[in-house]
Parts: sequence; C-alpha cells; structure tokens
Amino acid sequence: MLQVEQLVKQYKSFRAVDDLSITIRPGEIVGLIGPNGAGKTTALRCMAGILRPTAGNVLINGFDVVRDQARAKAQLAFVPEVPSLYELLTVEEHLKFVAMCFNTMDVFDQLKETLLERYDLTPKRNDLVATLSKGMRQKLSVACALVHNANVFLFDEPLIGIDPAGAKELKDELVRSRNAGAALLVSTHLLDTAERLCDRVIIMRAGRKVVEGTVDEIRTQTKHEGESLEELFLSLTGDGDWTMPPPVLVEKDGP
Amino acid sequence: MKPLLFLTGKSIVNGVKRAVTSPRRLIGFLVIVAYYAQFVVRSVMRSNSYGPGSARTVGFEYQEERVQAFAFFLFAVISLVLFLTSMTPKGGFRPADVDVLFPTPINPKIVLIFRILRDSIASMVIPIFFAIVAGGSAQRLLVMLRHMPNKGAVGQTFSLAYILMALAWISIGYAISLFTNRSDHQSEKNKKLIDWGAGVLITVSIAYIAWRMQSDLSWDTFVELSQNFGLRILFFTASAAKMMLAGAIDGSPLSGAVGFLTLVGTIAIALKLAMSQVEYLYDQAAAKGFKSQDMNRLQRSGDLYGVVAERARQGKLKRSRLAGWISRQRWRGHFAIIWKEMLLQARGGAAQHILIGLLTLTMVLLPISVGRGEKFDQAIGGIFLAMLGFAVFISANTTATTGFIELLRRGDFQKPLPFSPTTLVFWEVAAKTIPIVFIGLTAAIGATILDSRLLGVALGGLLMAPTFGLVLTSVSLVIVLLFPDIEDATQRGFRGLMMLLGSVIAALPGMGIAIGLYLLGIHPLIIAIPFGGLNVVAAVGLSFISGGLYGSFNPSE
Repeated sequence: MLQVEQLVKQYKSFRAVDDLSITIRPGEIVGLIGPNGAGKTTALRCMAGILRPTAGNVLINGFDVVRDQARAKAQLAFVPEVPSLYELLTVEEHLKFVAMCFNTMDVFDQLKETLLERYDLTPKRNDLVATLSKGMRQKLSVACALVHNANVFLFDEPLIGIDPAGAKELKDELVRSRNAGAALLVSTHLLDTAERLCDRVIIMRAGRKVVEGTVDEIRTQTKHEGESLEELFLSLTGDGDWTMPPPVLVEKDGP
Repeated sequence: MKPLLFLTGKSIVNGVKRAVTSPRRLIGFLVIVAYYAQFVVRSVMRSNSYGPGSARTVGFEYQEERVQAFAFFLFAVISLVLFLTSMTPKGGFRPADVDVLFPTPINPKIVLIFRILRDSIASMVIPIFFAIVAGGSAQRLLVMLRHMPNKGAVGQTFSLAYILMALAWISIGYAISLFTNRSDHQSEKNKKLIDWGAGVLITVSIAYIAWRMQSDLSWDTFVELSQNFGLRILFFTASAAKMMLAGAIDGSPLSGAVGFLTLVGTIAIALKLAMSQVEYLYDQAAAKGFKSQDMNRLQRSGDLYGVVAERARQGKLKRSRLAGWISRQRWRGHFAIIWKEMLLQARGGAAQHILIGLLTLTMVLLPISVGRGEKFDQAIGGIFLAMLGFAVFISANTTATTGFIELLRRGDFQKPLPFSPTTLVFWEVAAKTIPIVFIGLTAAIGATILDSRLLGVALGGLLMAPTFGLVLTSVSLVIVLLFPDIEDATQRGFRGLMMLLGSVIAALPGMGIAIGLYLLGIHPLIIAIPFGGLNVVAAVGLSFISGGLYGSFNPSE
C-alpha cells in the first residue's frame, strides 16, 4: 500500500509539489496524469526516496520512505521516464547489481532468465548498456524493477519509447502485478491507456491534485458527463480556474 | 558495500575492455598509455643513472627552521587546492545513480562512506604520478641537504600526512556540501556566507604574505611567516601535517603525535558532520548535483557550445548585442552556414575569443617591445609573424575542436541540409576561420601602433592568418572525423596528439615557403600570395577527405 500524506517539495521559491495526498491500495492501478511541468516526476521521485520531501510523509506498506528508508525501499520499485542506466555494465550485470542491492540473489538466477526472455533481452545479455537502443534500455529498466519482490510500483511514463509488443507485455505485467496484490502508480500522457488500464486516475496541475477518482466519478463530480478522459483532462488542466473541492474527493484512509 | 564494489569493479573492467574493442579505440588507448608511461620510464632511468657520490659534491646545510617553513607552505598550498575542490557539490553521482541506485534499500551512509573512500583514492592518483615522475628529483634534493636527520622517514611521513590531509578535506567537503547545497533559501545564504568568508580570509592571507615578502625578501621573513599564529590557524591542516613531518625529522614523537591526532580528529569531526546530514545526499544529487557535473563533463570533452547551452539553461547567459545583430541578418545558401557559425561564436565563444585576442596581443607585442631598436630589424618582423602564427594555431585548434564536436553532435540535423558533405564541411571550415581574421586584425593593429615600421609585416600577417587558420582548421576536422568518440577519454587525448601532428604536416609546405621567402628578403605582402594559395589548395584537398568521412559518419556507432 502506498500512502502519500500532504507531500510538499519546494525548490527555493518554486513549489514543485503542493500538498499532494494519495492512497493506493493493494491490487489497484492508479494513473497520474497532468500537463508537462505539473510535478508528476518530482512527486514520484519523492515517493521513491530520491528527493527529500520538504513536508509531508510517504509510507510504503506503513514504512516511512525518509525515516525507514531500507524497509520502505525494499518493497518499492521505481521505473523512471528516461532511464539513466550504468553504461559500462552489461545487461545481465545490471540486473545482478540491482538484485544485489535488494539482497535477492537467492532467486536471481531463476528470475533473471524469465525477465531476459520476457523483455527480449536474452540476445543482448552480454552487451554493454551503452550499446542498447532507447527502447531496450526502457525494457531493461522495467526488468530491473521486477528483479525483486516489490509490491508497490512507481512507473514514470513507462510506455514511451517501447515497441508495441513491449508495450503490450508491459501492460500485461502491470495487470499481473495488480492481480498479485501490488499497488501501482503510473504516470502517463497516454490518456486512452490510462482510461483502459487504471482503476482510478489523479489529475495534477501546477504541483497540486486537481481531481481524483474513477473516470466516471470525475465526470460526475466535475459535471462533464459524456466526455472522454482526454476532454476532461483538457478542461481540467486548461486555463480555467476550476479546482476540485478537496473535502469531497480526497480519500483519507486510516493508518 | 558489496554491490557498490561490484558496480565500480565491473565498470572499470568493462571500460578497459571497451577501450580495446575496436582498432581505432585500441590505438588511442595504447598511445595514451605509452605517452604517460614514457614519463615514468624516463624518471626511473634518470634515478638509476644517478650516482650517490655526486650529491656530496654539491649540497646545502640542513637548517631546521627553513625546511619546516618550506614544508608548512607546501602543505598550505596543497590544503588550499583541496579546500577549493571541496567547495563544489560533492558525490560525483551520475544520472544512473539517481535512477537505479537511489531507489534501492542500500543505506545512504554506506553510499556516502564509499564515495568518500573513492574520492580519497582518486585524489592520490595525480600525486602518485608526480611522486613517480618527480620522486627522483625530490630524493636528490633530500640527499643534498647535509646533516639532515632521519631522511629515510621523510618520504613516508610526507605521504601519510598528505593522505590524512586529503581525507580530511574530502570529509570536510562532503560536510560543507551537504550543508550548503540543499534545495532551500537558507542553504543558498549559508553557501554565500561560507564562500565569501573563505574567499576574504584567503585573499587577505595571500595579500599579507605577498606584502611581507615584498617588504623583506629573506629566509627570516619566510620562516617568520610560517610561524605566524593566524596563518597556522587558518591553514590548520597544513600546520598539523608539518608537525607530523617535523616529528619524523627530529625524532620527536610528541610533535608527530599532535599533528597526526589533529588530522585524525578533523577527519572524525567532518565525517560525523557529513553523516548527520546524509538524508540530504540523494536529494542534493538528484536536484542539484548534475549542474556542476554536466558542466565539468562538457568542459572535459571540449564541448564549448554544450557549456554555453548549459549556462543558458541555468539562466547565466547574458544577451549579446552582436549576436542580436547577426541574428537579424538574412543570408542564403552556403552563407547560412557562415551565419550560423557567426551567431554561435558571438553567443558562445565571445569570451574565449577575447581571451585569445589578449593572449595574441601579449605574445606579439612583448617580444617586439623588448627587441625593437633604433633601426628596423628583420628579425622583429619574423618574430611578429611567428607569434601571430602561434596565436592562429591556438585559436584554430580551440575553435575547431569545440566547433566540430558540435558538427558531430548535430549530424542528424545538418546532414539533411541541401549541400553535399564536401560542400558542407568546406563551409563549416571556412566559417571557423572568421575569428582568426579578428585575431590577425588585433595583432596587426597592435603591432603597428607599437611600431609603425611594422605596418608592411602586419598587413602581410593579416593576409596570411586566415589561410593559415583555414588549413589548420581543415586538418582538425579530418582528425575529429577519424576519432569521433567525444565521450572516450583515451580517444580525446589521442585526438589532441594527432591534431598537433596533423597541423604540423599540413602547415609545413606553406610555412616552409613563407620562411624561405622571408629569409630571402621578400616582402610579407608578396609572400602571402603563394602561402595563401598553398594553404587554400591543402584546405580544399582536406575538405574532400573530411567530406567523405562526414558522409559516412554514423553518430550511433
């Protein structure tokens, strides 16, 4: 379970994430959508323990990602938008490094073959990461996220740069993980994918959560019945001054 | 720690393997290794040829105070360098660390300790190289100090003191960096306060030392300054290191122990301070760390335009009137390449060209002002032309390296332009020589103002400079295209050596004729005609070669 409580990330006078609260239960895929510069990547990086929140808490299965990093991160997997990988490791060594960090070497040999096969990386297993194409890097990044037993997944634009077969495999992976009881937060610009894949969506603008719920709930709450998610998104993140009434839509789960 | 050792070890091994995977990389790698190895071999051979008896023939009497003062100032300079490097954001993190390492459950304290140890080991590489190369000379210097006690212990103690000092400053650097590079306003204020405070203290100290030495340049002042209480406090790590060394020389365990414990205590306190702020380590690396790293990487790879673009991203690029004026011009066809280059040079390379211009003026005017007499001497004219040629070489080399890296980077954009590869590279080369016209003009005006009798030579130089630049730039492009791996350090070094060799070979015919004709007393304005003709022919020939190479250049390889 992922709980984000009143998360704030401030860079000097610029507030990148402002009072963001999210709860994702096990077995749920939540889409995080918003225009460029909405603060999605910063929020995900705070949740992954990469950036230190200025205020607020991020709990992974009850463990605080700042105060109890090791236990929180052990259950978390993060796939960045444009994965920067270690160029001078081979594909297999990269997976091994991540498995060593997560202390899952006992199951690595078995899992490695499955992941290499699933993401078409078997022929490239001994190639340096530096020689991989953008799409193959993205696949390796996803494989790295699956090399340990995470049950909270953070995906930042995971489908960008992947070929259709890889994209389908990844979407299947997301559904498999959800069915296995994982909590998944997927940031994406692909609104039709978000609509089809996600159980709920969160729309962000200027660092703040504008609205949250299923697409039908959002239509009802914002009085945009009959509109597609794309139309909803454009009307909610445009120049209009509509903002969500927080008490109605923000879900508050007890600890 | 095990995963981090695995990562570092594998990266090094794979990096070396990669460096020898293609003949081109292998040649570069071997040449660079051989280049540095020859320094070591020569040093060892010099040491072996040195006989013990010769030291006794020439020597200096050991004077404790002077040696200790010398040691203090040597350590003070080292500590100053270490301090300055400690002020930049620390960690040496890469984007891959942020995306792969930081989200793992590895304790950030382990990452921090690993970085400090790694940085400490890295800080030893250059001193070890110098110790090997210059160790023989230092040994001879020690032998020449007659009646100095415990000479054998000096080298070991000096090394230990250096290692502790480096570790201390790296730890201090991390503690300061974690304190001053956070993402809030207070950190920015703290950083400014520390930067200014340290800057003022160092400037005042250096000014004080310079003033004292200028007032009374003697060993007594030198020794007195090394014992100055304020300087000893300011350079406290140098004082401690000197105490260690003094302890070893005098056989005084107390002095050595105090120095040793001071340095160890400094390391312990700094490490404690750094560890107490470890929660900011990842945040700092992810949010701020790459700014300086990106800049360093771009500077190392010689990517001038990359540096300018990075400065623009950081909001540090000022508007330039000249760039604005060029931007408003409308040129067509091949001239668009010249327009683009002028715009980029005006926007990004202005400071560099001003520096090279000042350097040219100094190089050209200094020998003239020293050497000129009542009667005009032909040698002065020759010196002017030689110095101008050297300035053109520096300018062409700098502009070509940085500009052609840009050409390689923008291959996907420039190759589809409606020009043949040969035409494209020829105009790129021609565009790169524009700053050289200004270099020639600066030198000519400066020389004529200084001595009006140089007008003829200056005009000749003004005519020769652009074509000389053209041939040098053309050969640089061929070398860049032959060794295009801009990220590979060994290939970068090798490319530099090859450019030097290529420039000499390509410029030789023109230079030979020019020197010969000048010695025959032919006027430089006339010499400029065959000189320029030969250079243009060479440049066109080289453009055909580079056109072919550029046509088949694949940025993905």
